Amino acid sequence: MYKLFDLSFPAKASIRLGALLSAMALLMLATGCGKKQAAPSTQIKPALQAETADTENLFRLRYRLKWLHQAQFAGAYMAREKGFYRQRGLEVELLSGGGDYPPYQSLMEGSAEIANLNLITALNNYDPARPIVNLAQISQKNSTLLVGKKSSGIRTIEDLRGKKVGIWRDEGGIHTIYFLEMLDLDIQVIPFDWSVNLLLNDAIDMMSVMDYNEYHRILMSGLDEDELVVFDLADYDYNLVDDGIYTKRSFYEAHRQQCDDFTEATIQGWLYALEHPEETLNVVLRYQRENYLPANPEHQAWMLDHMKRRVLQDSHPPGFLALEDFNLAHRILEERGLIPKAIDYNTFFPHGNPEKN
Amino acid sequence: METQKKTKPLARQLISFMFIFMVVLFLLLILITRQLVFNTMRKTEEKTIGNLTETNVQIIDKNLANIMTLAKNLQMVINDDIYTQDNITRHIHHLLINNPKLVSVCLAHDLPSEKQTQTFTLMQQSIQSIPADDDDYLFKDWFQIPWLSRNAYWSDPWFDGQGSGRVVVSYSIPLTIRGSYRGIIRLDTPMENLRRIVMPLRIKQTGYAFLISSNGMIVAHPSDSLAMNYTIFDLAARFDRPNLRRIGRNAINGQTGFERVRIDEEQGDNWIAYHPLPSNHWSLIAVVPHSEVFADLSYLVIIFTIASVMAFVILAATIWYRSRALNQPLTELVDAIKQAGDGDLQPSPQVNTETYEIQVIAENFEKMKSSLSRYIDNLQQVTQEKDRIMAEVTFASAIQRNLIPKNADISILPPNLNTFGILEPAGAIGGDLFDYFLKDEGHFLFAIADVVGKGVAAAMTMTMATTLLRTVAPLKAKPEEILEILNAFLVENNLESDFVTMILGIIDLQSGRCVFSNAGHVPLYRVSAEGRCDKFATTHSTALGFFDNIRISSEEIQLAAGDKILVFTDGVTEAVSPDEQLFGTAGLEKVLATNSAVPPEGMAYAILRAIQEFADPQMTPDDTTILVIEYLGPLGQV
Repeated sequence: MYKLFDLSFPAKASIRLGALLSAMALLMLATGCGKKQAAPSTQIKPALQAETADTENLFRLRYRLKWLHQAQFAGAYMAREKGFYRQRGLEVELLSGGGDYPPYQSLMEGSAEIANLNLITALNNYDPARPIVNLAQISQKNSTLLVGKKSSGIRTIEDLRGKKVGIWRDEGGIHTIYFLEMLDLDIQVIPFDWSVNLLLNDAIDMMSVMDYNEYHRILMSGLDEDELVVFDLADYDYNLVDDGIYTKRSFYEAHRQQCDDFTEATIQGWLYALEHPEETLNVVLRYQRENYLPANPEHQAWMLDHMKRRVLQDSHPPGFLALEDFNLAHRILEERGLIPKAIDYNTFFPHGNPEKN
Repeated sequence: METQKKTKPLARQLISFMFIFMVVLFLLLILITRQLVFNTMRKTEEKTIGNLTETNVQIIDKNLANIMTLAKNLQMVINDDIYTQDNITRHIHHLLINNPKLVSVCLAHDLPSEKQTQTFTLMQQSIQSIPADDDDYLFKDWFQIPWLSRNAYWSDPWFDGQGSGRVVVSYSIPLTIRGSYRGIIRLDTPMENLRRIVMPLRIKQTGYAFLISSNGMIVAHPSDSLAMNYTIFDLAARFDRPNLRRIGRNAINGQTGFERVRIDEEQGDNWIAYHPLPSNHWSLIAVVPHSEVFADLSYLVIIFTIASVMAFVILAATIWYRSRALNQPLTELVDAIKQAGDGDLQPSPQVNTETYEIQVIAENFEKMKSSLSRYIDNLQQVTQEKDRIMAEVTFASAIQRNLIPKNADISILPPNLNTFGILEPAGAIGGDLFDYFLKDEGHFLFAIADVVGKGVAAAMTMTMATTLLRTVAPLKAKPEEILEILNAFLVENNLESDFVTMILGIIDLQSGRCVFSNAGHVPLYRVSAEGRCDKFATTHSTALGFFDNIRISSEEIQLAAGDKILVFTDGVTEAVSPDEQLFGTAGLEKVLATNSAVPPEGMAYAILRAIQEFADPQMTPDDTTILVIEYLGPLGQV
């Protein structure tokens, strides 16, 4: 009756997913591993994974995502889904992040061996006593935009003087606050969780958004692009690369092979995901559903499409942290006196110069 | 006879024409009627569905408005700052007990450090006060938006895990104490209540309604998977329907509308009615398939179409039946005409028709046939008569030719004469004549005559003259005597009053003397072998058959050996050329000059050829007769 708005998967995808689930069910029965299931985030046992069956010999890694399950982490899902981790002897658990589970904190507490962090967050929190290393720089491009309604009268960045700007209150908002402070326009920063309703209800004048995520939600709340005023931080010397894969240096040194394998498999997962967007989208939506998150295919498709631009943006190979990107983040923090002692690029990013490490 | 043009039966022509006419007419009628009814129905349905939507909007809004009133009362109570905390708690307790649609109340302070933020909810009729664990609430929409804007705010549905443990919709207004902003008062109503109003809504057969919040988020929909996951704009993007996006924008901007939208190709068109909730700027959107909204219109078009088809069938049958009644006698008539065309003029059976025109045609056709039949009979008689006469004329002509001496029959000629005669009658029988025979041992008689007149009468006259000549000639010695007898006979017996010109000559075979009389005839020529040519044009009497008792003289000429006598009729000299010149004696003499030495046959044919070449072939020639007699010398010497 409600087929009009029935958002079922495309038939092909459904079949594929159905086949996968039946295969899983059969294998779970066969191996007897269906009895007790772990946390919802790791319930999925893809076919390839089950094939190798010998779970006990695998090296366990917990990967704390920066945020809730979404296409932003498609590479990791597909590395798991297609068995890229398992092929390298890794059993990887993907842990949801967000405000309740800050990734850096997870690393330090030991609730995860690997974490997804913004470069500036990693450098900002860098503790020479407990150093971390960048295993791969997934995102090669700034994704942070400031968005407001044209009706607010804002046309140029100078118009922000004295305005209210909503910034994420978790660690993902730090660089935007630095950016606003750099502007020195007496801007009133309003920390907020994630809702775009503040802007829609005119409680604030502008808000920080990710181009692959909240920007789309604003468009999907009935505002047209020509009604919006958008400032891309990259246009103001703030082209800060964000998502990267980090681990503690001590862990890296102890399990270098596993760390390298994890990095390689994740990047392989990314390349696969970007080449097979439809298949990837189904996997992402499955993760979302199994974690009781709203699963909106169009939104995830938008996100995956924008991730493609971020991951494959640079002329460097995927996963490479460019020195100039490192230097930009380092300089911003240094100028603010947030890095007491200079951090060495090669120490921070061992893959930048393998000989040295 | 088969008709050359491709033809079609009358009934088929009429029905084809009718078909085209009726299709055009009915299509026009259907289209116009459909458009008129469509416009009327659209207005009616807009009102009906609009009213239904509005009624439900009012029911939902009543719930919300009630919460708003309660919130404002509570706001005043707190603002007055004359009640103790216990009194306020008791007041809230009463509110919760008396308003089942109010599930929790939260008094949230902007300073979390003061630990004053409490959520009140009922637990088995007694009030529970739940303090806030942390300052997270400061960043929730329900707190942050009204706090920053200092305005009342209706939240999207959210799960209040710390408070009532239900999905609620919250109304937040500033918490003030004696006018000073201290935080937010939040009253929660279960989303379930609103869903229960929206979900069972049925419009027509399969139409349904859904509720969107002020940012377009679908908050209640019969398809649960959409709720709190999709905005109406997500749907517009998914199906690439800009007009659905426009409807969404209209709806969240508080407008009312009724529009036709195609969302999913397979589902066809839908009508969407949207109406805002006055309290919180949400919108109730009703979706009804076009086929259901305009079901009656479809029935109307179907009935109209069936009626049109039936009307056409009945009309076509009537035309077919009537044209058959018209066609049957026509077919009979056509058959009769075809038979007549093939020559059968027998009267046909009477054509049975009620159509006046066909009756008239049939009757007149029968009349025409009988007239034609009579005419043909008549014509046949006339033709037979003519054939009989022609046969007789041919016979007469044969007789006439038999009267003329045959050139080949030289036995009748004396040895010292050569002759050759040509008689070319203009018709089957002619009025010209030549004759020659031995009158006695020493005398050779020749004659040429032309009856002035044509046809059978002239021929008969000539026949009588010949017969008489042959009878009389042996009895008389002189040409004039013979001619006188002929004249007398003709005057007496010539009924048609034809007269006859004639030359009659007698050659003494021994001496070569030739005595001849010319009775009104064209000249006689004597042509010598050397080429001398003498014309004897004197006539010795008028033509014969006119006058009784005429005096006829004669003339004598001497023939030398090799001389030729040429006599002819006026067909020679009166031949007319295309430029209307007469051949004349001059023309004749030119021929004679070049043919004086040739034998009689050659000379006669030379003259005939010259005439034929000269004469206008278009003109009817006169009878042409030429007779050439060559004297070879005295009888004993040849």
